[in-house]
Amino acid sequence: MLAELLASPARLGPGAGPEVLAEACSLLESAAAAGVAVGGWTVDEPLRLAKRSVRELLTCPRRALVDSSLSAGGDLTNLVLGDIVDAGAKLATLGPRVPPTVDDAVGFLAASGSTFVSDHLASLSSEAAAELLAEAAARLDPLVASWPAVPGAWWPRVEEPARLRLAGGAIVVSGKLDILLGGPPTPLPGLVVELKAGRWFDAVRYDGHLYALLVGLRDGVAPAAVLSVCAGDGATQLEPIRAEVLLHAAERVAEAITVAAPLAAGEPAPARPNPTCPYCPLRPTCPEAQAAA
Amino acid sequence: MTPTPTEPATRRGEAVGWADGVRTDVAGRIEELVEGLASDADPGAVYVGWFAAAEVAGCPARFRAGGVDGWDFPGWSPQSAAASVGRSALARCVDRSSELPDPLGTVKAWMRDVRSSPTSYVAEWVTHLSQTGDRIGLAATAALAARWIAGFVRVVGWPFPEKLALVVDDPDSPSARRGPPPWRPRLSTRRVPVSVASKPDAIAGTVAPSGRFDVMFHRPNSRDDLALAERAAFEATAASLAIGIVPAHVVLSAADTGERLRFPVNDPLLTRGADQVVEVIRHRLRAAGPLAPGTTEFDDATPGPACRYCPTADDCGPGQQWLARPRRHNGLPVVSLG
Repeated sequence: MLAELLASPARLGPGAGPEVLAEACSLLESAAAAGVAVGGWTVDEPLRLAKRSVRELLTCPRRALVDSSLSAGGDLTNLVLGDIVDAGAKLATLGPRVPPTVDDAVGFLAASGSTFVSDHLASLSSEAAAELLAEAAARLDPLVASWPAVPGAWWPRVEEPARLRLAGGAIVVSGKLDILLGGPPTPLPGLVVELKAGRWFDAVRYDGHLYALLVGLRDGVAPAAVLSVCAGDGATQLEPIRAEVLLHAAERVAEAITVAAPLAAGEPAPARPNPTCPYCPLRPTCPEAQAAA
Repeated sequence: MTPTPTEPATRRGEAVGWADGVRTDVAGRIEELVEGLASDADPGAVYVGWFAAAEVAGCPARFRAGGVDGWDFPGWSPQSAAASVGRSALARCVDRSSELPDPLGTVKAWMRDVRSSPTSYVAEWVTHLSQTGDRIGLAATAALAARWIAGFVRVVGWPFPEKLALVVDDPDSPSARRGPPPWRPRLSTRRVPVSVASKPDAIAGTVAPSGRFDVMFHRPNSRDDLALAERAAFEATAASLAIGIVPAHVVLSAADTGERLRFPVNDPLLTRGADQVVEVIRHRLRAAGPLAPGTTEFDDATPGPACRYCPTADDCGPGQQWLARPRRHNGLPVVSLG
């Protein structure tokens, strides 16, 4: 699908313009002002939101407060797989002559300053490391074998940061785009490519919406679409970023701020049992999760 | 309305004399600090740049804990080379074409060009990567440098403002300029060599006694920068000291937020910047000397989230107090297990 879009950018249509972005910004600033009044965040100690924290605040506020070092539930395999597949696809986007391998992807991560994967691999037995790398190759190889060459006119960029400061910096919403193509100042429409090593799930859409919102508010023009690519099941989804989608993304961030404010002020965090409870590190001590089980 | 004496318009014609005044003032304040230094203290060379100023503003105690060695260049890596490679590649590209540059293609073309005859330290490093077959290191460098170019062009705007010159190590082109050397005040007490550095990414306009030029600083990722006005103050003063002419504006841009702010340089801004420069030197000298009676190493610590990563937090009372508060992460309380 990516190859088709690169060949026919007109399929993407125009991105949402300044009026929609202004409405989204106004909505966010209102929520931020109200949230800061309750939550007490400051420029020095701001509320920091990213795709995961927004998702968790809306799904289960208690889960959103879990120590981030425990959030993976001790199983780092999926995180490592995710990083390797992401890095391989990013390398492929940068245009090597031969499709990148898992070793290339691990090397690219290290060269880019992230030693998480190489450290984790070094901590495993040789058999366990080989098994993990084989699983990574099973996901990465088919992905990069079909990855199209990206023409330079699309300005291929990887790991591009986007940040939004609300309430004068007391709330910061940030994201790092896997791949960004086109958009200003190029004449081509913006296309966010979001990579997932695992299978497609619904939250992938919301992550893409948030990135589109951040890029739109940063650049003054929203990307035309988000393309989600999931290596685990081969699913790809192209979502046009219509005005309603952008406003919904802004509403989700606004709601996350509203949920976070009383928590920051010291009120207890409610639990909302949901299908992700089995993977939550709080589950053994969470009465609501136990009852739901 | 009649402009006040601090507004840039009334000082432009005397931008050189204005910078001389800043130099005289800062040198005098440094002289006083050095004269107060204990006779057996040896602070070594004192280098003042924005990172040092930001560290002092963040927490003076943590800055002093770095000892007298101060900040040192960590060596080239894809991260540390990104801006240098990006500027060099972009300068070469805009000399050759007025077309909107393709960031990745621009970087790759520059890498190919410099392999045959590297004319700067960063080009030598890139050539070394190439000669040793480190294609992944080259790819990472190209990715980060292309991101730098993309952000700079997007935020500064295309076509570039007239007379914009990128600051590079090998300015062999009309679109490039070598950065100013650090300012080294001549102190009557020659015990402490001080240098104040200004490292703009670009200069717009003509560096001339009229002072009608802007110094531009670009960040791909603004992270938790201090208030931008503080950065502008430091850079205005450092540029005036290093160049010897007061610039008209300091332009700060950030790729992640899309911000581009233009601060007019005036006396209050220069005074704030001079204070920052002097504070860096004061704390570097304090780190070299004995503690004054009634003080501790940590009496001026300004604790905050950075205490979690501070190498001296174990010994720092204010830091320990801050860390003993109920734990928060990203502005929210942390729920522990059990």
